[in-house]
Amino acid sequence: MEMRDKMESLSKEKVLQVANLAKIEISDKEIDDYSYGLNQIINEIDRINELDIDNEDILISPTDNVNVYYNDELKSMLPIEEVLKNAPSKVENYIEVVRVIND
Amino acid sequence: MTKYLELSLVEINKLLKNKEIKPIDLINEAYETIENNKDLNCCITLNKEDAIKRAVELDNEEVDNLLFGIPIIIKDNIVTKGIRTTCASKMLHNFIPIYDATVIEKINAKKMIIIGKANMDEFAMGSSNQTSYYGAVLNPWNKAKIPGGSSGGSACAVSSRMVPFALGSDTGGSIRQPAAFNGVVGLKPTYGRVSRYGLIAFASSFDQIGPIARNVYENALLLNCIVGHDEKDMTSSKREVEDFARLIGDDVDGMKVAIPNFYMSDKINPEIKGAVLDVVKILETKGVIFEQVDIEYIEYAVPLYQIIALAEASSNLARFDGIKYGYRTKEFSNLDELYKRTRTEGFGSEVKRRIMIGSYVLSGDNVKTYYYKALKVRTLIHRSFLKILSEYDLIIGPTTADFPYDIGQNQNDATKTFMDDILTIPANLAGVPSMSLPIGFGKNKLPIGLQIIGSKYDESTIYKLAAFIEKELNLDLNPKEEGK
Repeated sequence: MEMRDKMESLSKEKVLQVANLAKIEISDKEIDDYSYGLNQIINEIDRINELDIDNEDILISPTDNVNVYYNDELKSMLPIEEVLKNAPSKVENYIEVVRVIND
Repeated sequence: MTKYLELSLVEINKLLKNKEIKPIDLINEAYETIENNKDLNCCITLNKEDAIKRAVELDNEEVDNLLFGIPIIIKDNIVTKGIRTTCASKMLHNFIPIYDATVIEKINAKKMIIIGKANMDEFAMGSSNQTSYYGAVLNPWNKAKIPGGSSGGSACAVSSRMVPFALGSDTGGSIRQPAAFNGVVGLKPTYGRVSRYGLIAFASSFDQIGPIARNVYENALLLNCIVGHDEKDMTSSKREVEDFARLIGDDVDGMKVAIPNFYMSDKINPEIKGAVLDVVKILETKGVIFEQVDIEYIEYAVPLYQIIALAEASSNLARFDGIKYGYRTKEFSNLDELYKRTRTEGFGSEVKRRIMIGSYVLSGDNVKTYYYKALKVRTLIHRSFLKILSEYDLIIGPTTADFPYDIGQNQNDATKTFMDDILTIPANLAGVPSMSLPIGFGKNKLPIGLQIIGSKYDESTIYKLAAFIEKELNLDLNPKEEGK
């Protein structure tokens, strides 16, 4: 029963809200599939909340490195014409995008 | 015709040195084998013109190392200057990198020859190679089966003897699981051993590039080539680099090895468990000491991975916005539409689902309930692994819980692909090195992989035990598809 309650916990509205955060559009046809898949995973990840471990440290990365600094020096850079080669749309030395102000 | 690429690396090297063959012979043979096995769909992009040119250039150079002139295939999430790199996604269908990943510079320095880019799950998200925009890869041992993933093309190419070497990447098992399913040796190095510069990021605190090879010794040789500190990757280790093959051939008498109960539970296919236990029996007669152990919190590995790796993925994949490179949608009237339509049309459904999970666990209060909580549990799993590995030389268990399933199966189950990696994810959470080694076959004639996990930066001990087992078993690992 508990399982079922959780399965219904992520509404279609919430799915659309998450899709918006992820900058993804979901069609009406797809929404049931995504809703089901997301709920399946959310059910699983909820398991970690059975643990009472609030005082533990967090582990962001298993690296041994601490504070990696770089010298402030000029290094070789990629030529601008190379960098622009993969741009979907460009004008002279600029990447072209739609207008982002006064929208 | 002699199949030079079925000879050992040492034998090939001798032929090259004695001028009995030229690098171009190896390159031609590689492309011929690829052509004859086109149906396996291992490669997304071939680098034929450049590879031939390079082989001819090498004709006039001294054969100065064992990797000289040897063809290699690179997983298509590792950037290669001038060679299209797609991540098996429509999003990067036309993407031609303008620089080489650090591992590629190292491979070129050893004068290896890049044959092409290997098929994979889209953005390395999957364990069956079915999420590729370029179609599924087939398993060379049984073409109705998946080859595993996400480095499915890399493992399949080595298994079917197109090339002796491939590079893969492993975020939750993406080298080891396909290595097990294809009967090849795959290693995920210690986190930080190999530079991630130029590896298109999936989950930055998990990802490692690693070698896939036909046998243990050759795998160690490729690891020797790609390791080392790189200031372009701030998680790259400054530890001294050793010859990872140096312990191969040493006696295993007295080694202490842990077998976690989690790896031998009733969820594991009994035939696979049986194969692991057969190896244990052999090693016990050689003086290896085995003990069953519990690794605390390991049962949370899959949910932790789903939270942390997907949170990192949602952040990493935010860069695919249709602005600077990659796919851009045709119709839009404002920036938000440009982003959304580009990503909706450019990403496949598995990738979209994973980005959404990542966005969900990072949004609002969920950061506390899921993301931070998961990072705390990761501390505990990390500690458990280090504790066990301070008491034992190695940990072993199966690489996979089951044999590969039929192509087309399980595509709509959001959780299945994570369960496929239940035995491989823990090593990525802890950042420890781990190998999959072929140890036999099921009644279905499909290969079985043994997983060997070592202490951080102690890949050499993994190679030592693996080489010993390999020699004892002396398996024939050339794929023989049933009915062939």
